[in-house]
Amino acid sequence: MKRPLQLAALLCGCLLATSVFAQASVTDARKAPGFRPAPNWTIMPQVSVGAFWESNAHDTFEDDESGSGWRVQPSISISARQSARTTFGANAFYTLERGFDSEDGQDSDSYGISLHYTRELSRRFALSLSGAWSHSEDDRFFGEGWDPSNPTLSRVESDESDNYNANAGLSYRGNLWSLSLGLSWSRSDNDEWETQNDTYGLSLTASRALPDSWGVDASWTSSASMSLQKPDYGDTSTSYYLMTGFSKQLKERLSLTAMVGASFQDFNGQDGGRNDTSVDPSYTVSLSYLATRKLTLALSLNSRYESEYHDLPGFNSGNTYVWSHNLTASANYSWTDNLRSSLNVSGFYEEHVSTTDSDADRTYFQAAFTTNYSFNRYTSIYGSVSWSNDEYDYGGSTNADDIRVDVGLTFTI
Amino acid sequence: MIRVLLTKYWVLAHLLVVAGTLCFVPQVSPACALWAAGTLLLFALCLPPVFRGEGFGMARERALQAMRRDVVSWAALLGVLYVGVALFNGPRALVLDLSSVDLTSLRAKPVWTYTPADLPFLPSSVVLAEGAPFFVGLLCGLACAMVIRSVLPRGQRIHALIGLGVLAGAVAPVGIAAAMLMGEAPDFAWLGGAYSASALWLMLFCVALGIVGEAFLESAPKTMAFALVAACLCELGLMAFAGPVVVLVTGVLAVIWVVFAGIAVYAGGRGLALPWCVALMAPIVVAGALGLALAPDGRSLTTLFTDGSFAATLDSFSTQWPFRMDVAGQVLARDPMLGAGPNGFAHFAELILRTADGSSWALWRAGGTALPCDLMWLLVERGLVGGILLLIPGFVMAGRCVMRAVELAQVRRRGLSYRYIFVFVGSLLGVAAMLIASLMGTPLHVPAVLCAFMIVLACLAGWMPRPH
Repeated sequence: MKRPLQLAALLCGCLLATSVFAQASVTDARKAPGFRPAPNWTIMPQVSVGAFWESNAHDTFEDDESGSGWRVQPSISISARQSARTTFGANAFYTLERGFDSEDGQDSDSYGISLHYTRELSRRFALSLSGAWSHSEDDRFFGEGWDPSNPTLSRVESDESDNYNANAGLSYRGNLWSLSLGLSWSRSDNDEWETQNDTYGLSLTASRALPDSWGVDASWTSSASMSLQKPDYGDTSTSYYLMTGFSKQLKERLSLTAMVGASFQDFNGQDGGRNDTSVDPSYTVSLSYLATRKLTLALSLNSRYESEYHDLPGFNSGNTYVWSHNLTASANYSWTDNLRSSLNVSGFYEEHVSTTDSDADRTYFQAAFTTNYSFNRYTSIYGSVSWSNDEYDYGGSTNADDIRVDVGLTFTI
Repeated sequence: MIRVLLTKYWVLAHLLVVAGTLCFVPQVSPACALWAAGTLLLFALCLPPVFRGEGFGMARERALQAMRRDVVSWAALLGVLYVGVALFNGPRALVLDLSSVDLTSLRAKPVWTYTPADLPFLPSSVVLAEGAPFFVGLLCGLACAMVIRSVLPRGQRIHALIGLGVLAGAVAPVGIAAAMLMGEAPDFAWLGGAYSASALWLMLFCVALGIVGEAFLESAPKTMAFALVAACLCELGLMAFAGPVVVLVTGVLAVIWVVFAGIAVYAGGRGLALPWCVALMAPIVVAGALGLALAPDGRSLTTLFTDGSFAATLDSFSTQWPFRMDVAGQVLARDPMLGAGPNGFAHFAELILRTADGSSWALWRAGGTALPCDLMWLLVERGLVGGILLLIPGFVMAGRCVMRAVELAQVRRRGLSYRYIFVFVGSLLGVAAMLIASLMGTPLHVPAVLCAFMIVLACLAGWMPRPH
């Protein structure tokens, strides 16, 4: 349920990064945008005003209805470099979408704030802390009235959720070895169903440069992580992941990382019932290539196996695991100093494995083409077209297509 | 003479004609405003002021490049276009929502609503003509601001501010004369009422005093004299027609001016001090006393705060302001993106209040259809999209001023030129006074006041200290 949100967030991040990157490189020879109240502080307020159109506004499987509206997104980012070793950053945003027609059902409000802090404790040790909170309203997915046996019903009802996360990391970088220890916590509050799901994580990653005598200029990397999911109605699951692999800089502009491993799922049913364990494979491959001065390519593939919950009290029909294969790819091209485009492709295939009910598959694919033109350091115009397809195969099959077009102006004050 | 006018002062004169027309003409149509703004910009490009040592061709090239690079003005143009679209998208009719009619229940209140506009995704107007005044003020103000920022040198900007002060201040003796003839104070309807006129005079009073101080220090007697005339005319209007609080503020400013003038004269060492003191202090004191003496309602300093009307006004404001802000919030919530259109508060508030209790209706009837806050009125009428497009240029300009101030703070003081610092302080005070006044009234929705405000704002950055 959250994957498309994550993918959408990734695409939005790419869009924002494209805009910011476009503005930054345009202003290489001039001042960067934003306020600098002190030499090491930058405050950058930004507001984006635009319009959007969707071909399948209610995300239905048939009788698609289009919808359109206005979108306003103010945001502010603060960055500070207190010394050569310490950096601090904060970002807050509010996204307001309203349909042109009150019957479009396009109204949504989303907002959030994130903070991050890094400090180099010494030449080899570094500390990083981050936290974020966001409130999102997603009118796409499971809401009141959605019936799996009758999927033609609209599932447009607002699915409001609050998401929190906090991360802490300590890293060591030596001549041959690199180590990192990470702690994480995340919480998801579903306002619609008044449920809460906490996840705690611990990870340890080690990396060592391979000896020169091997004739391979690469690093060996291994990681071990543990994740504990604890929803508020008592069914907990613990996941352990062991991965190993290598990362290599093939050329000056090409880097590759590949890791394989296994995941162990331990599901503890409420009141001691419905316990289960599972061992399954996982892999991660990522590649980034700076093809030319103007073109950058990136590709990432990974799979994970984890427990899944239906966040509906009393609806948990049994243990359900999800084996998901995720793909993200992006191509960024700079036509000129002011004009940049990016193509982002993302998708996942999920195999929902249930211990009591029938299995189900889900395939989600999304492609987005975004172009950004900077008039100057204050104003830029953006346009994007995205297409998404969501197919759910549970014995029958449902398929929802959606094309979304966004245009607008971004003002940086 | 003609050659000087054409090569130096044509654009300035044209600007004053545009701004001055708004101060005296009750209503200017959007077409006239478009023509005035267009011709002003055209003459700014074709007949810009020619500096010493350059020809017409170079001056034109300089003006064109400056206009192209003026980001703030182009951003403001987007706001003007947004406001202008609403003049064509309408009208909207008041209709009864038949689905809300319940003949079986006597308590059920039928719901009235406005029909959607022809283009629901664009800003619209319930009554098309109601959007004209704000569009006129915005368009003329933007044209004047663009010309000032791109074409006029700083010396001529001072002349523009003085001319504006004289033109706006000239309304005061005309109003006093009209009051004497008719036996009652004029309502200054074309200036948005006495409150908006007072806000305009207060802003220009502050600016004019700053120019007088600057002219005195630079030994420019003619500039000083004209600026004093402008300040006196504005003070005359303030003392005669403004409310008690504004009169008090004006009085305080006059006292500060008198003290400053005394210090400046004795510190400047300009020969005989007494004539200079008289020249600087007397006109301000006399204008203030004259204004109070000629006030149409026979008020005086002693009765301003004690006759009960001030207390009644304060009490009414303290109940009306929060009530109307609440209603405005409900109107805005109906269409937060595009707003309710020109005068939308008056049209839609009644729809909301139909389901309210009797006390709310009583408050509404007591205060009329006014929404005493410019910012809230702007948001209600234009929505978030319009508010962003219209306020972004102001925020950018303010941000630039702040950034320049931060940079200047890091430069050694002796490396800075503080020329025009008094004009800067006066202009800053005037802008602040106008913004404070706009929180309790709607002066910035009056064409003449909005145009004058944009002119003062456009000049503001030019008065900041600069490195030598």
